[in-house]
Amino acid sequence: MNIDLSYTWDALPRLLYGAIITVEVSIAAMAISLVLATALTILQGTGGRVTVLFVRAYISYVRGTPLLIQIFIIFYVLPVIGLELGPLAAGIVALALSSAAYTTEIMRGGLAAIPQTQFEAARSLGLKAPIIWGRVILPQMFNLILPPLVNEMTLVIKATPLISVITVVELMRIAQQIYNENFRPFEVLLGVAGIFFVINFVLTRAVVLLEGRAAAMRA
Amino acid sequence: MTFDFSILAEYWPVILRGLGFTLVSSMVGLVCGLLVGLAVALLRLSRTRALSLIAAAYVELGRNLPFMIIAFLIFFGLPRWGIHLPALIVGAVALSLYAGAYFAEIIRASILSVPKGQMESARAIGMSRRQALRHVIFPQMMGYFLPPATNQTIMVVKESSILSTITVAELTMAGQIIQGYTYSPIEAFVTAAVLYWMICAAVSRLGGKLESTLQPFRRARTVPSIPSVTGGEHAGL
Repeated sequence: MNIDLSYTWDALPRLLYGAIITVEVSIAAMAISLVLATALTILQGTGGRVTVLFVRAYISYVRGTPLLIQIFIIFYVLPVIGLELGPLAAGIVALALSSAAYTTEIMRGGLAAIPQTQFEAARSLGLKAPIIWGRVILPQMFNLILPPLVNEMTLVIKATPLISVITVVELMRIAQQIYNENFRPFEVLLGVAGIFFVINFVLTRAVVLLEGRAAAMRA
Repeated sequence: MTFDFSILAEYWPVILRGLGFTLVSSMVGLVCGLLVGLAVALLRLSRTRALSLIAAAYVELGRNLPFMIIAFLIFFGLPRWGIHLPALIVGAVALSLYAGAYFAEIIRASILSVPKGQMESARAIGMSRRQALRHVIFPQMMGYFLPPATNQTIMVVKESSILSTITVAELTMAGQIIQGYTYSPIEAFVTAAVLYWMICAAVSRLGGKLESTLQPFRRARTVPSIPSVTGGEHAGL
């Protein structure tokens, strides 16, 4: 067994280029996911029975089906409903839709941690619902859920290799191109693993720091 | 826009085989993952610093790398070492190693969440460390262990779909095969999605049943917790 790390080293420039694409895709997906999740959380909090049922069904679908299947479904469904977006956009949409479900759950947990008295006090001050949500509740919620949100970011980053299956050129697909040329898949994949590990390790350390800071503020 | 699910009827062998491979790889991944996780958790809790660090490194690797990367590394790495295994077994191995990292954290967290006084009291009445673990700690552990473990099992089932990228003919691959023949991707993948959802719902239900039978008394109350790094990743259905 001879692992020749020079292949890993040679592949790094192209892999790092792919890593940038991966990070961009993750940020785009996370941004859309946050907006969508905030909307869903508000819908769930203030909506009627049908709305809540719809949101719960959507979350159940995302949690119960593999992300790869969801990506395929989005990829093939979008053209049928008239959105010819191409693989990159379809991949970002699929990642965002999936992450939004989990983020909604995170927000639900965050909301539960806000004392009921906040709602009551805001109501008794005569504030209207949009102001209560926008100025009182949501800021507290986002502050509370920052650590799990960064954790969710690592999950989105770990999910991006899947969109290589619908031909998006990101880190995984560039790695495949490289080892199709030099027939050294293991060495090239070691480089990919190293890049993912560094990105996610930094993010998880950030989460630990954030959780520590939040705990200190609570004390 | 019409959907015609009857075209899938003639492909039921493909679907059945896919379902079978998914279930086999998930179950093997679950069982072996639990064993690996138990071993790694015990190593992590060991007094020997070196063992603890190796276990911690393993957990960090398993949790920071995407499963697709781990599966590909093992799939391409084993033949380099001269080990030629069928793709299904390679996939099951990859699932076990990946799940093992997560189960290690779950097991470790549930061991640590039993109050420290329990171990002290057990030792004080003369039990050895092993006896205390088996008769006192372990039963109390289950209440902290089962919910995240159920979530993790669901995660194993969902990650098994990635095995389709290393040529395992499981349910996702079945969807791709059928789509290749019928040019009806939506019917094919929605069918696969429904089947996956049913498996995950069954696992969730089973986990709930296990929880109520093994923990007839309520476990220690926890405040509504925001899902974070240390607990399980995503809660169940």
